[in-house]
Amino acid sequence: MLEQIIKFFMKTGYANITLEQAIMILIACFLMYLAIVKKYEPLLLVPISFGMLLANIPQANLMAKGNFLYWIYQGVKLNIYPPLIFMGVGAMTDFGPLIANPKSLLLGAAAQFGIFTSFLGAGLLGFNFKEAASIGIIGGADGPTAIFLTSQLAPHLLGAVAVAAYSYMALVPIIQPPIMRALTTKKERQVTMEQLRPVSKTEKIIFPIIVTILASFLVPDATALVGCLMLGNLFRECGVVDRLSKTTQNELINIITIFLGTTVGATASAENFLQWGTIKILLLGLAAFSVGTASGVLFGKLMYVLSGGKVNPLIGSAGVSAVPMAARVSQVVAQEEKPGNFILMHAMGPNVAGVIGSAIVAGMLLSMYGG
Amino acid sequence: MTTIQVFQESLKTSLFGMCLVLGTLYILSLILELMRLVFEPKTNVKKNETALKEQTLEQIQTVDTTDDTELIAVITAAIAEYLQTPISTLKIGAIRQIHEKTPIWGIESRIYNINNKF
Repeated sequence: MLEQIIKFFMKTGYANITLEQAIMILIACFLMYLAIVKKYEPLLLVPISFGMLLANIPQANLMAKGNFLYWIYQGVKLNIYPPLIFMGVGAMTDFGPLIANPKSLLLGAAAQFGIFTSFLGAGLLGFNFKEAASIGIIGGADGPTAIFLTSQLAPHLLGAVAVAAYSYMALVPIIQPPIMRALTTKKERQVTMEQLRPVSKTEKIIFPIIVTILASFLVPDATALVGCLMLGNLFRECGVVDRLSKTTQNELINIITIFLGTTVGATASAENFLQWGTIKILLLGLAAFSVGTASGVLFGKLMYVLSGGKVNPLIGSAGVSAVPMAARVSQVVAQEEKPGNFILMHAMGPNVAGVIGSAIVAGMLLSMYGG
Repeated sequence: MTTIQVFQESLKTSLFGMCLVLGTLYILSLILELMRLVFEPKTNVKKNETALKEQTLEQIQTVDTTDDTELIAVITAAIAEYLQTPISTLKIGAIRQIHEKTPIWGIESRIYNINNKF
């Protein structure tokens, strides 16, 4: 009897836990605390952190071939989930502010500079180009895009990249404002922008079709992301498939978020995550985010000068994606300087342009370093 | 690869990438400007402005002629009761009728919740 009890105990997680697994479980619990108590991107950080917890339960091996999470993870590995998430994002996004002010597309492009700065930095720190590209894309501040690219180029970094991407997206209100204030003058921050023109339904319907053709022809590797984003948006705008639109922006995106978050978190096993490389990734991700914000604001300043003071440079920081948090931050900083100044809709233009921009960059990096 | 070679390769990729994304989005912005010219002719803009002015005038007249104070008070009280919060913590910005898109089971659950509260 005693022998049986000992035998049973030796098979339990308590007898088999390693120090690394214990540390990972503590990290998972800390991330859950941030998600639940501090409300840092809870919709994603809750499943990610719980997936991390599950992956580090000794003897459970949920990610081993044939086990429960292994099969769900195939959707990440085969690049099915990120485009489906993008479809939901497209169905929830109003591109009206962007169509009304097309120049804001350039701000979305400028903010992608952060990706390449980190790509360069990661290369110099000893990561190979595939890994460097995966780390750089954190600067796109777009979770699905980061997962899409990393799962293709450097799957072993997926956990660290996803945690970094979503953590920094949640920290946008803390990271961005000091950079925005440092790079702009009080006068620039107080600029009140003209009201946007109303956008016709026809324009909103044609927009996703044009973007899909233009971007996908140029960067075929970005077709899955851009195509799904625009398909979701077409569902929303065409007005004849309300049921599909509702499903895409609710049930579909919610189900895929659960699958994606849990399995991406489960890739953060102790042997993959507890490395010096993870700290480097977190630092490079922060640098990518900060440089992206700075380049967006500086491009905004350029537009401020060229437009004769009609553009508020604060909308440039929204070009890093992180929809709609980055646009809200622009609004908050602008209102601190001048209560009653509403630049939220103007900031939404570069914000959604950033999503398109980072998807194009991901496609470009995939075509250069994939395969 | 030496550090200099890595740096050169990374720099090339970065320059190419930035040019690509800036170029693509610039072309897209030109297409959008073109779309604006096609779908927003000046006459339409003028019409829109006139319509907007008329709408605003109508709204102003409606506000002037109708006194909604009692209705606002009732709605505010109902919300305060439902949320179990004092009226002083609520600030009503606007009250408008929305097009109902909630499915029937959604409405049913809403009514159930309200009935349970009162």
